[in-house]
Amino acid sequence: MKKIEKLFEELTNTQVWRSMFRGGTWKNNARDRAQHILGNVWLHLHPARVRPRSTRFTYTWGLGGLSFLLFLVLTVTGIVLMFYYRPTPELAYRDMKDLEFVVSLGKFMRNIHRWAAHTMVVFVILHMVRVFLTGAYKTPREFNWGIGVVLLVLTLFLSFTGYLLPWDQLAIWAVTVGTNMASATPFAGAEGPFSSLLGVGLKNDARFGLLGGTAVGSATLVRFYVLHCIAVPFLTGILLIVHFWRVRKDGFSAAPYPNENPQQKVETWPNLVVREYIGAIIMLIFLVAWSLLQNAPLESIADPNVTPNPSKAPWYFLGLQELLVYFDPWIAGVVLPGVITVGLMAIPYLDPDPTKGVGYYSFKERPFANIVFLTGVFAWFALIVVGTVMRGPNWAWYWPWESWLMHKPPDPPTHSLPLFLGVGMIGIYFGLGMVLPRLIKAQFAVRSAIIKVFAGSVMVALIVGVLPGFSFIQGFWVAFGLFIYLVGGVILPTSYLKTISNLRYAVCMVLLLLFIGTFLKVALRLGFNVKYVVAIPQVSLNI
Amino acid sequence: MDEKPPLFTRLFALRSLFLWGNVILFVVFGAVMVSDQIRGWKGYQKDFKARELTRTKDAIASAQTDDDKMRAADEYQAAQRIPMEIRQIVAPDFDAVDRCVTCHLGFDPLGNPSLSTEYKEHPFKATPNTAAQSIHLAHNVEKFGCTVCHGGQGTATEVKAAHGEVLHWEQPLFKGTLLQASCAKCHDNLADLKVNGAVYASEIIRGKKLVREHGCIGCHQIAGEGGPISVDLRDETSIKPLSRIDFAYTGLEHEDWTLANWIKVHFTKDPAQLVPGDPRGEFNTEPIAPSAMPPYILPEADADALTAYILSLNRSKILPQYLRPAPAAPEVASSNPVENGRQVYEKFGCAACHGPDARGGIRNYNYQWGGTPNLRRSVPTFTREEIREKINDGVAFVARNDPHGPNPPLYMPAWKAKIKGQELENLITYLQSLRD
Amino acid sequence: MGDTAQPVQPEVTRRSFLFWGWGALLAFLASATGATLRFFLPNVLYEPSQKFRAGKVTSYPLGVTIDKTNRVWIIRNEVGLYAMWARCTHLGCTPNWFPAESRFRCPCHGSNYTAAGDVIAGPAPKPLWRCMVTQTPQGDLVVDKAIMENRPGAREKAPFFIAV
Repeated sequence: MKKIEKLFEELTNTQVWRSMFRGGTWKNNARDRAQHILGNVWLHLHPARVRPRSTRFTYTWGLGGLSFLLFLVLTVTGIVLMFYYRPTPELAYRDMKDLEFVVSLGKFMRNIHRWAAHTMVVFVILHMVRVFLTGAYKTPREFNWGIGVVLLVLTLFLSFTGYLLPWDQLAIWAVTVGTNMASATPFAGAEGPFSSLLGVGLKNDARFGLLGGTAVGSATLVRFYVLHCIAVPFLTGILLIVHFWRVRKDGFSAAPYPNENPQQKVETWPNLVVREYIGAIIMLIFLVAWSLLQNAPLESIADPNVTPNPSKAPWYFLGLQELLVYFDPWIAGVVLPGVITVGLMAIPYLDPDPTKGVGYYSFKERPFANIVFLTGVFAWFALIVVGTVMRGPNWAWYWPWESWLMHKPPDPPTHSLPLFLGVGMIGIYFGLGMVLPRLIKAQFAVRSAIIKVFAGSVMVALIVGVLPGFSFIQGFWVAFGLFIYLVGGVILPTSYLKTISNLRYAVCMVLLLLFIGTFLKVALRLGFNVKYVVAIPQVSLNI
Repeated sequence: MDEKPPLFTRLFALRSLFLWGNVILFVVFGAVMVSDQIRGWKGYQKDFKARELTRTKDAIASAQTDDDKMRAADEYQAAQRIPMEIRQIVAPDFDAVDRCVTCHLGFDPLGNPSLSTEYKEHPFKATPNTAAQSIHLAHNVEKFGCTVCHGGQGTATEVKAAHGEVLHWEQPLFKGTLLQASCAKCHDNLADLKVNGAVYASEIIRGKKLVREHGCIGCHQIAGEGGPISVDLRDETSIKPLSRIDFAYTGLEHEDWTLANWIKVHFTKDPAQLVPGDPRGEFNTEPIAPSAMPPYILPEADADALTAYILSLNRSKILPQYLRPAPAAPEVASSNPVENGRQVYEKFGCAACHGPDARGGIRNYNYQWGGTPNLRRSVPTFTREEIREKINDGVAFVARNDPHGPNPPLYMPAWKAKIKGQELENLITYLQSLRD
Repeated sequence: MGDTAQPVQPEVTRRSFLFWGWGALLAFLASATGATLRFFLPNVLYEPSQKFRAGKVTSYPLGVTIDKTNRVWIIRNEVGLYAMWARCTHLGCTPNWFPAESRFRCPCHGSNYTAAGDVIAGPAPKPLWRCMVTQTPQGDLVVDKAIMENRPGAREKAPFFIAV
């Protein structure tokens, strides 16, 4: 051992070594430990010293760093896979089979690429949740949060474009479902509202541009290949640089507590770096083991003439596909994701107060933010679970234990509300909903109010249930709608949005009402078979 | 907000995490590399090489003349040079890359040009002087590959996957009689294809005969020609994707969900159970009758022959230079009007609904009078003009037993475009000649 | 610490701990690199095979027959048959056969070869390569470009020459 150390010491003092790694032999003193961070191109994102609380695993769970690690794994394995994959319909599927059967370690490379992709989507979302819960989007970090939201969208887009490349049935139909949403874009999509006003048709709309044709075909495959391998990773890389730069400049994690002595920092090397390394190793072990034990699926070759039943989008879009039961594609596929994205980016500007709950988890200090955001995340994943597990052939409802071979009766026929009623309902809902919380002056305890509303809703459910012509299921949906509106649209805003500015209040209420309104429409559909609240077919506008 | 000291007391746990993390990562990746090296085909190739070495060594020992000894020595040297590698046949004319010969070394055209071995078990079995060997030698394996005739998944190198007996592969290996279905992809002249004097694709020809006997084209079409009651056996059935088949009522195990079994089960089980429709309108806006196909319940051999014949109708894209057409067999119309009428009866598949003996009685779900009419009883009650009208215009309205139930699926189609002139008259003469 | 009389339990020192840890990491990186390099070597080729059948031995006429797909010449003389790789030994172009002059001439830099493959003009440093040729029991010619010979003497003998 001593000999190796002596050799190492000699080696690190040679001119060759010193020209590559400035500083020569490393001595374990404070100066060199700091230099290890500040002088290293890969590590100099970190400051030389950090607050001890930020090194705790349970503070950030390493989610941001692991997302970046996953991005690196995907880049490396992706480049490796590019040596054997050719993006034409004639060859793509066969190349996938070659990777599985004849290329040394081909199966492993493909598996790890696929599983790392799924893991990255999950981890990026979890990272966003962590940043939210520790208030790390507040001033001065608002812009970085916005960059993060864009990175989330890019991650989803990378996963979506990659999904097409195996060219199997799963690929072609998942992308068909996903890109058909593009044709529902208002103004820019051939089947969206107001398209006829601008002369937008099948051969010049947003979907046409995305697909490179009128259907998913060879042009689409090449386009998605370029997007997936070059264009979007390049863009992601640039944004990641900005994202990391801002993390450093806006202040590394774990802002001081109000009464904390700011001098008490510890050295990044080895304390933080070791933990990051271990997190990375554990993630790699997880990925390698998963890739060894489970094969990424490959269905039969893409056939544009045969649509599988059911035809599902990738799992992270299944929430939106489930919403298609209740909304037209332009809402479920374009407007809602757009509002969610914009809404997420708007959060720091609606809630910028940096004195509350920044740098640590706190439910007590930020009840409104936590409840609304976590409800949103939960609803997103609940919709995904419904779309994945509970929907079978013909998108009928199948409990997880029911075989998909069972035939299910078709849904009962639906009807739309008369125009004046629908417009009126929407007008009253938004109009009243906006002003009501500000009008209520009384003070009340939030928890008991919620309990009372819950009890009241249960009673309403029972009353509606026993009324002639109504069922208990309908009573449940009425109670559900009543509960989420009264709690989310009245009690919470009244209690917590009293002191913010009018503009912020307005934006917040609009987003909140849209969020609640989505589920009110779900209740209307499932309880009362209402298809459209407002239907104006002349401009393809249906809500 | 007190903090557990995260540094020194935890450092030891961190260190063991560091060590064990690195070690476990190395070990798991090592497992990946090992599992990548362990491939089924390597075992088969090692086994084959060992057998060839033994065989050729014995040949040297038992050689009599010097010439024989030299030849045997050459073969022994060749056996020593057998490499361990994935072998494939690239057949661009058939858009195929077939790796079957990686394990089925007896059929490797480069390694074993005689395409025969003495070994008795697969994957080395390639018995000489059989119909199989003649056919293999007649179809240059390097140009055809394997899967164009045998089915299966050529790109795979693991047994079950290569045989296509996995999910998401539509065409598994053609086994037994079904293999004859592939001949028809190129050969229209099946009756001329003989091996050792016997027609090879005899079951396909027998299946075609059975189709004519049972009158299948009375309800089904083949390439557009036939009755309107049910699907086209060539354009729909022979190329039906598995995702369009509802196996729920077949009683087959999941691994047996193949197109061939779907077709066969129509002959061995009651089709009304396989395709029960929706007679009470529970899942559809209107009630749908179950399948009208009669329960033939044929013996196994007949069911196989019919299945093979229907699969042989598949016209997958074959390049023109490989097609072997046959001149159409001329129809010999009998001069005897009654006999000709019987030929017409058979040609248009009247037996499908009226029975081969015209006694009818084929079930017709929710039909007021139960089954199809017995022509031997009903024809004598009509004049020639009335019979002609019925055949020409058909009988579209079929009275329901239960007015809320589904429409009876069988009805008399209008044949005026297809049966005309003397054929029509002779048919009527034949029908009138039948007595009960 | 402790008196020297008692045997000290060998402890895992911090140093050896880290050594094994880093060692395992280096082992992982080395094996990952090795595995990736192996990944880059294809196991199947979509090229014409190095070893191929070329019809019946007796079907070849006297003289040179060009096989463009496999890039060989099959040459038959009074004594027998051999196959030469149609690649100039200078820089790899494909020479052309001129029957009137009974020689191969390379268009790139002017190398000339006899029918046997010897260099009679030009910058080529070596004779043309002959491929291994064997005959199946049915009389088919099998050419294997993986095994080649160009030394006079060796190249006229089996397995680089078939007496017909």
